[in-house]
Amino acid sequence: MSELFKYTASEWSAIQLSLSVALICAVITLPLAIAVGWFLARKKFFGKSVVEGIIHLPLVLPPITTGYLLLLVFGNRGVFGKFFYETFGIQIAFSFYAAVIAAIFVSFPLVTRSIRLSIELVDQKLEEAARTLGASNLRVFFTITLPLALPGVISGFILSFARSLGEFGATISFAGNIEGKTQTLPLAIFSEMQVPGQEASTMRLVVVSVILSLLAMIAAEFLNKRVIKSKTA
Amino acid sequence: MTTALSFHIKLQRKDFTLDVKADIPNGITGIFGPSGHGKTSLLNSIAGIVTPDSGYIHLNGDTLLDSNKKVNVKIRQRRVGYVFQDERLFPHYTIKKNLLYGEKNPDQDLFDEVVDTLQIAHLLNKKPEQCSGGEKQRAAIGRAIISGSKILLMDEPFSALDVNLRREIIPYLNRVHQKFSLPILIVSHDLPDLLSLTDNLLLLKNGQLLGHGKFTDLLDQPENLELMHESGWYNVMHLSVFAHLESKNMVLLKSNKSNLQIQALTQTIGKDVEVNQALKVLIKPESIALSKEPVQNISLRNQVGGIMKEVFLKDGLAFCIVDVGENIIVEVTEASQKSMCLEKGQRVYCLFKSASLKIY
Repeated sequence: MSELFKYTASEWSAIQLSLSVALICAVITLPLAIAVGWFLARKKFFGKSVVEGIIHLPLVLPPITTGYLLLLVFGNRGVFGKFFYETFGIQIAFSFYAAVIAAIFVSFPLVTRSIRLSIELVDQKLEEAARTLGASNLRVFFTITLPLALPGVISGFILSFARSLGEFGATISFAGNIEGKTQTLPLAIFSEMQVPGQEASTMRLVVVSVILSLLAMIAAEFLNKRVIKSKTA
Repeated sequence: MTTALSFHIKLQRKDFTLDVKADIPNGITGIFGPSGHGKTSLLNSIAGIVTPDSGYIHLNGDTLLDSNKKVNVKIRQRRVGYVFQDERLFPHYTIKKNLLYGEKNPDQDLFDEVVDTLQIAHLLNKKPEQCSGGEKQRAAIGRAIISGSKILLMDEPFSALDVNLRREIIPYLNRVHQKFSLPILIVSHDLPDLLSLTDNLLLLKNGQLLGHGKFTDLLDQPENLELMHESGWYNVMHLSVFAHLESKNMVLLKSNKSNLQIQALTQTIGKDVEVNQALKVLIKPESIALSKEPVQNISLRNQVGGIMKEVFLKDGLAFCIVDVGENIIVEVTEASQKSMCLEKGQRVYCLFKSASLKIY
């Protein structure tokens, strides 16, 4: 029983790496998703359905396919990968960056959808009223739209964090499964499952995975309720 | 009266064309017309929410729009205070923050005066959802004034309020106009509500200007008459308190411009009105009866003599315009008009009860 609480260095490393990837991913994804979510919610343009389809593609694509496509673009011979490697000497594929990029691509449509829906629910008449009071578009966004869409934004942030914690397919194909470098929690669980006799180690990682995901969901609910309460107080 | 706003707005929308040209004086002007005939589109064009296809808008000498010169000032730079039908207070801000949204550091005296005039001091720390409909409407008016507006546009400000709240908001609007000297353009499809505020009207029908001027002057046109009759109308008389007839529990009201004088119930006006105080007296055309002679021994307290200026017949009714010092309209049946041989140029007496008067 006590084996369930004895975490090895590699297990701690996987937990730490997962948290870092998820947090960085959520922080990077959020502003991008707010911008794209606002654009999709408020603007009409030719080809909007196609753009929406492309943004939502990672939701339905097999994650392994997403990983492979990322490899094609960010690999050392890919358009961006080659540029980064030759200009800055940075290899993206099979690195920590790759794990973060894979998580961003997979969680982006989820976050964008959440934020877009909450922006759509903000009454545009309030934005109109703010403009008649002299507010610029930027001020309208930061003082009216964003605060009123806050529950969706918070949900989006937590969703991004939680989805990144669980990311597996795209990460293993694009970032690999390198212990201490790209081996996140799901990859570590997968590796342990392959080795006979590692049931205790697998269980330790599974427990952490469940707890982290549960905490993220509880935090999302808690923050959401606080926002709603502060708005109606 | 000086012109505050002049515009010529042309706007084409599918099967609807708005084409209105007018000079709005520096007071309260009512825009009246049936629903869906371009009233809100006109306000939205002035505010900059909608861009007209062509035309011009000048506000206190500043050009807000001139399609020939390709001038189209942005909404946020127009300084047009817009009070919407549904208030549109920001739900996540307190009333105080709402008031300060357009101008973070307003003149403290102005802020205090607005709060005092609209009696919203007790609401400052409340959220909009904690306020009643009338309170929210007052806060929205205050927000528009504090933001430094040069004109107040109000779109159906009464429609969301019940009858009692409507009566509550009307004196505030009169006070706002008097204290802040702001021209007010107020849209409504409810003529009695508009007339309780102003008798300077702009009549809109099918996106076109039907008439513009004093309510009583607009009555001369049968088309205007028909439009206003559909809404339920009132005669508006501008009178002043002349004397309190305490023994009779009545107040004597007189016109400053003519010999017109009427009696009203003290409780309708209130005991605290002072002599010479100006009042607006409203009475429905169908509440007035006509006689060719003064009638003796009758309970009606008011018999006002005048000259019949015009008689219009429509759908079994006769609309008689009588000059009693001001033009008033009297609605009688066509049968009565015929049996009494009521005609233009005759001297007639308008008979009405004191209790049928509405006084603001």
